[in-house]
Amino acid sequence: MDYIIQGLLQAFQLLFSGDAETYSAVAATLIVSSYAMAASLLFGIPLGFALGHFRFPGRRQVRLIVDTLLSLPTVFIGLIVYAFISRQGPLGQMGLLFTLPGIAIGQTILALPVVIALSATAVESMDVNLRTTLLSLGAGRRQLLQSTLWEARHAILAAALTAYGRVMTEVGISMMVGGNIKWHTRTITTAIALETNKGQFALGIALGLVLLLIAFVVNGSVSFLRKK
Amino acid sequence: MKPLNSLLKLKLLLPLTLVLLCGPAWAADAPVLMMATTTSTDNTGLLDYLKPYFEKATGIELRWTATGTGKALAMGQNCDVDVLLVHAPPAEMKYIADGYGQNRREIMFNDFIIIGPAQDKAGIKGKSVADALATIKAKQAVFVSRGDNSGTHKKEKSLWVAAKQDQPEKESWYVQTGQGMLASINIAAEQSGYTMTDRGTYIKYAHDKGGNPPLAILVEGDDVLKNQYSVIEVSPKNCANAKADLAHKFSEWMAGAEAQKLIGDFKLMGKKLFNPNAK
Amino acid sequence: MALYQLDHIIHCYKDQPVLSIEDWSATEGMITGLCGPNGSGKSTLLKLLGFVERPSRGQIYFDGQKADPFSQGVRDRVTLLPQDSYLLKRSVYKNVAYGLHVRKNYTHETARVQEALNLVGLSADRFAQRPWYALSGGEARRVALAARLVLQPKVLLLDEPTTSVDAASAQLMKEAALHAHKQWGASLIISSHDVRWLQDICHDIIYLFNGRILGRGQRTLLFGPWQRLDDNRAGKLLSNDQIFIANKPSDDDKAVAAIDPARLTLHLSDHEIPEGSNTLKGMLTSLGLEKITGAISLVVAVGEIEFTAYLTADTFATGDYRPGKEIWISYRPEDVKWYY
Repeated sequence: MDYIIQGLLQAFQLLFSGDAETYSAVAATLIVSSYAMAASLLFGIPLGFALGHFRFPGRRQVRLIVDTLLSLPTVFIGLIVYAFISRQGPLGQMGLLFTLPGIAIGQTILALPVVIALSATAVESMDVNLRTTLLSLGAGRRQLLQSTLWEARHAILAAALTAYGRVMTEVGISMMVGGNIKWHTRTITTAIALETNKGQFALGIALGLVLLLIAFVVNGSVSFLRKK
Repeated sequence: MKPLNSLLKLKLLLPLTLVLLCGPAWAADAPVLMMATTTSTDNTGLLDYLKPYFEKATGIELRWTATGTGKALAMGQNCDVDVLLVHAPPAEMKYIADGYGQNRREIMFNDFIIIGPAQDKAGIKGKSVADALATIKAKQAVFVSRGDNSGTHKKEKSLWVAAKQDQPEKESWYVQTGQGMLASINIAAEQSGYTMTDRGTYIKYAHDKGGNPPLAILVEGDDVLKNQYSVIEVSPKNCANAKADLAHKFSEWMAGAEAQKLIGDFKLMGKKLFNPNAK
Repeated sequence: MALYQLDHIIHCYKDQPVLSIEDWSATEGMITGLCGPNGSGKSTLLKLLGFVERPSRGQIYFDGQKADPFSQGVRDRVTLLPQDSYLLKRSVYKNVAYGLHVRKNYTHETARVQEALNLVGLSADRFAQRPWYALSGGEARRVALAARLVLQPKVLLLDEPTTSVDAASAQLMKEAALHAHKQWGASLIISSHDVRWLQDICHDIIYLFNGRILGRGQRTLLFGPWQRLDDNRAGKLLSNDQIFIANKPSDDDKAVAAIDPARLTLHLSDHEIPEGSNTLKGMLTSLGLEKITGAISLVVAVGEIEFTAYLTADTFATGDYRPGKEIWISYRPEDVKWYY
């Protein structure tokens, strides 16, 4: 029990004393998750939209694969990405191992199925009368797509938040691909894993609370935007 | 309420923006030496302590990823790092013989100890390593093993061989954690079990527990318990892009007078963790 | 030239035919009513006419040209108010202006949106900035109509515009639709269960059943079960011991009988029934005027069934057709049409 109270106190201490190690991990977490989210939304929303909107042969099979990929374990992604970007691997020359963009690649793979599956569901569950309404108001093909996407914006935002939650909290990819290098690729979650390994449970809990706080700020701003 | 709010925001945002403004960390200008090492050098804080001296002396930025010796060697083999600081001499010899590394240089040692609950129900205190392990096995006392192919794990397995005991594997009293040393010590403490650890990590552990750890040193000083740390440069013949020159500078520096003195001076709770022994 | 010309249209949902029209045309500048029971194909027909869906088979000509969804020149001139109108998740103003934006038509936008809202009885001041979720059912339906009116369409298709809205909203929508017709000569095609309203404003009313156009005017439908009377006749017992008898080719119990009002003859006494006709005695329950054609519709209740017939104003003037009076209707059994 002591750990929890100590952790709570330490969380505030870390944040308000501007502890450099903590803020380095916070920055790494934010940078990496921003890259991963930008990439997964950029590719995931159009793909998810296409999957939910168009009827094409093999659509159900594709959907099954995407849904299966929702269960990708993060350490497995970490391992695969490591195998690719290790200097001996096919992409080794790019020097991505132990870098934040390297982690971001893994996290994009993690987030992409979430974004695709949830935005496909969002588009699928749109009101059947939407299409009729848009066409009857004179929308062309492109406007039909744009407006449908815009109508689905709330559900897609929820998809993005879900993906963000997974990305922010994963530890397997960050550890495997990033190497948990202090000041560079140490994210909040790998720092928690390290502190736990070192037996510093209170510090681990404090870092966990910091992560929650960030998640709270992100969700708070989104729910503020949503009202608009 | 409002001024407090904005003050908090400022305090929160300022360091964050500073970190963000400093730009992506991987774009640093100084040459970067990438090292794979074992959890014991990292968890004890030794590397954090040496890093600024090394950078000041050579202008090389040192980065490391801390893992088990097994994975550290694999990273060297895959050319993902430039230099290794590890502690599993037989595996290191094989690694060099296989052509993955070069210039193995012994830097320092500490020793392994067997720790367990102060009550010592199995009664191994003061015994030789071989006797202690035989007793633990006979009494089926809980023994926590790293089980992660790390240097420490390799060492522990060699001790079972030296004690002429069959290597335990699935026995219910033999717990393989697959985790780092401190995590494994914590597991041993939770289960009132025995474990083998390097002394450095144990001192750190005792320090974290406020000097009154639930697990005490029961077996120490046996010759077989010596734990030798060495630096190995990743072979440029195997890895064309390995920074062999930087790795060599690190190796030289670690074996040099300055680093050797620093290592000897590094103390936790007034106790020396590592003994420099570079030749 | 016909506004619409339908050529061998068949439309299916999941391989089930729901609409089948061999040949039908609508004239420009007219108001056409569609009536018929639920599931008769009215909404489907309107969706095809609105070029929201493409018929499974057959071709629709618009203004003499083959036309499809996304055809040039169709989208800008035809608009449909679907039965379940959907409001975009935006403000009322943006909902109404959507069609203008789609057409990149930004001139006098504010004024036009305001005018359209006024037409359906919504004050722009109070409603323009409301979000889509802060409207009552009737208001939402009127906003949807305003979104169509703002486009000043050449053809306005209305699918059950007044269903499930309050009386005041219904009245405002009726007025707005008529305004479109009068103000800029919009052709209207309206499906509605409000027969009285259709009779009031339509130049032509067509009756649909089971995906087919049965013809002009209201139809009387009789559903099974049917009793076989002899080799080619079947009957249905109406509640006051009278039997509706018709020539029935098969034994299908689900068959529906329909009578064209033009084939019904009305008699004020039972002396004048022509030879070979069947007669039913009923009560005249209501009268209606088809304003455009001047014909008068009479509804005669025989038990539970209401038969509709038409009289010209001249014929009507010769007799005493007061609601509440006993009246006889006669028809020839072979004039009864069967639908399966």
